Amino acid sequence: VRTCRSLVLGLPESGKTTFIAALWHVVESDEVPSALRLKELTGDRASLNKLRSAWLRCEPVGRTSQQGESLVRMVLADRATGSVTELLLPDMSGETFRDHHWVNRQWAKSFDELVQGAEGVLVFVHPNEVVEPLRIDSVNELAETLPTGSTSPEVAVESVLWDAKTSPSQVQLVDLLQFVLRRRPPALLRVGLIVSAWDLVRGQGLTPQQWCATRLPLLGQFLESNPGRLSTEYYGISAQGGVLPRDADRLRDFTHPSARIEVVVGAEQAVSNDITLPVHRFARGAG
Amino acid sequence: MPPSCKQPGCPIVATGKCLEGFDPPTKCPNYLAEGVATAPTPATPGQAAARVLEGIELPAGTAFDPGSAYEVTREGIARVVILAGAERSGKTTLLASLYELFQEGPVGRFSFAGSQTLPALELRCHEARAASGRTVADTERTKPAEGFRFLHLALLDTSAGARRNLLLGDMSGELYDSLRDSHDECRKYEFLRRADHFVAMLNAAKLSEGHHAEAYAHARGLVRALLDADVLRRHSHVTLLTTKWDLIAGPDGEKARERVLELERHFEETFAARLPNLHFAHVAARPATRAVDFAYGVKPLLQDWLDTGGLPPPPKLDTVPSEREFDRLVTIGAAKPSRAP
Repeated sequence: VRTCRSLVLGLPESGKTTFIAALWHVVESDEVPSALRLKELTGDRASLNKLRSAWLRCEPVGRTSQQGESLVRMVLADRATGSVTELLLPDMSGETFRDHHWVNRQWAKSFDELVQGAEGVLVFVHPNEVVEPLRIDSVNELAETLPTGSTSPEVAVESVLWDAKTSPSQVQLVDLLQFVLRRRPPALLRVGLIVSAWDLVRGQGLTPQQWCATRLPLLGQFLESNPGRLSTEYYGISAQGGVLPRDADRLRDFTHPSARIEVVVGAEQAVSNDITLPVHRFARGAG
Repeated sequence: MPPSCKQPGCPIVATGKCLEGFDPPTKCPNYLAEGVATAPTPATPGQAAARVLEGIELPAGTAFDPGSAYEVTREGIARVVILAGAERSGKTTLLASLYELFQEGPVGRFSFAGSQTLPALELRCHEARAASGRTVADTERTKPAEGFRFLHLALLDTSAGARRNLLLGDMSGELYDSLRDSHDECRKYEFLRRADHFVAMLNAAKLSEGHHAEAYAHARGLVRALLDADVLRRHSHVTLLTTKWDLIAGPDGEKARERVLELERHFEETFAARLPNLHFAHVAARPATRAVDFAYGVKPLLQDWLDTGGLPPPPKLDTVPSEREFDRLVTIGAAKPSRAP
């Protein structure tokens, strides 16, 4: 059995755990023709099943705390070729990436070992959680275009010292990827850039790559400007299928919950339910 | 536990001084107050020890000193640009605005490919960001203790498909003064010879306030001092850069603009024989007025830095070679005078 390690990287509330919960349900339930399916049950699955239960109830899956970090294992079979892969996914807290890795500039030795042996890295971005590099002049310009009376009266705000924690999302993600590259042998690293909660931005008519280039231009440039080091595929994934709790009743009405997942890959904008596609790319070793 | 710092090599414990030049040091983002551990506080002391022992240190991301800047050049072709100007002439603002342009997308044919100094760049942008809580943008001045600091950008030239490393050297206003004033001080900074572009900055705010003579004399004096100290040489590309152009871009600035042209002509007459690669440019990195757009003139400046310059094969040094690895910088390029924008 081949082992495939995939890093799961993202800032707080970027959709990492919801993805893992939905992935577990899809491979275990075999409700949709996914590229990967569960070959056999192994090890302790209590935490995975707990996540999956929340996902099935159409409740927020919750965030991984720094104490609750774990290494998820799934033995998966490629539906087309039959080849078997043990998938290892570290379910890590977004605070760990932000506070320990980006701000404090260190990571655990155990994580370093995963980094060095990883087949690829899934990078998660949630459209509602993007911190943008807002310049004062842009804000002032925007304020001037608003009709008189639509802005709140000026309130004296105390100036705030720089805190790395509040840096733009794209800057933090670029540096996190640079750390990964730095700690690995100089070989091509596969990246799956996952725009989570894709249903929120689907109406904009952009592909996931175009969305990334528009909302996270620095990250988009970085991913495309290191052709010898990074090979990136872009995904738009709605692992819940809608906005909770607003859409909970509609989502619970699906006979097969896997069918509520929406996955968009590349420029085709074709929608499927196959949430295994990003890890399938790593498992089969495709560029 | 005494005050300490997250940044390796910071002398705060020994001298009480901040490596980044923050005064007081408590303002430095890397400062760790008395009793604060270098790692986040975990639940138990045992866990603390384990985390520190098992942690892998990642690059600090702070600005490079000249001695360590060479590391960057191992990755590929590097272009070294030194910005020299009096206090408040806009050196750091220029660097910050260039970085801000990449936050929005590629700049001309150059696309962002990485940086080893992202936290340092972010720090320099902070006071011009809404997150600072300010309503008027500013830039924190380069601290005297910082002397020379280099910021790094890795760029992909999308038309050539080549990666370029850009090292942008920012010097404190105090160092600018001391270089101008002392021959010995100039010779201490032998690594300046490795600059592909040396940018002497002329602050348009001074021109509009009637202090043009002193501002120009300082810029010209520095170039002269470095030439006479054999730090700038015939192959050096030197730009006289007028900053804060927005202040003289409007109808009221006609006289000041004519003055700039006149000073540029004088600069050319003074140095053309010794410095064939002279450039003249105007920028408004972060305009205070609406006369020009944000980062006016920065894009052509970047293109100029990357398309011209580059040292000829290393000359025979007439002094003992520096032990600093910085001297191993590798650069290429063809010399071509320019005047932009």
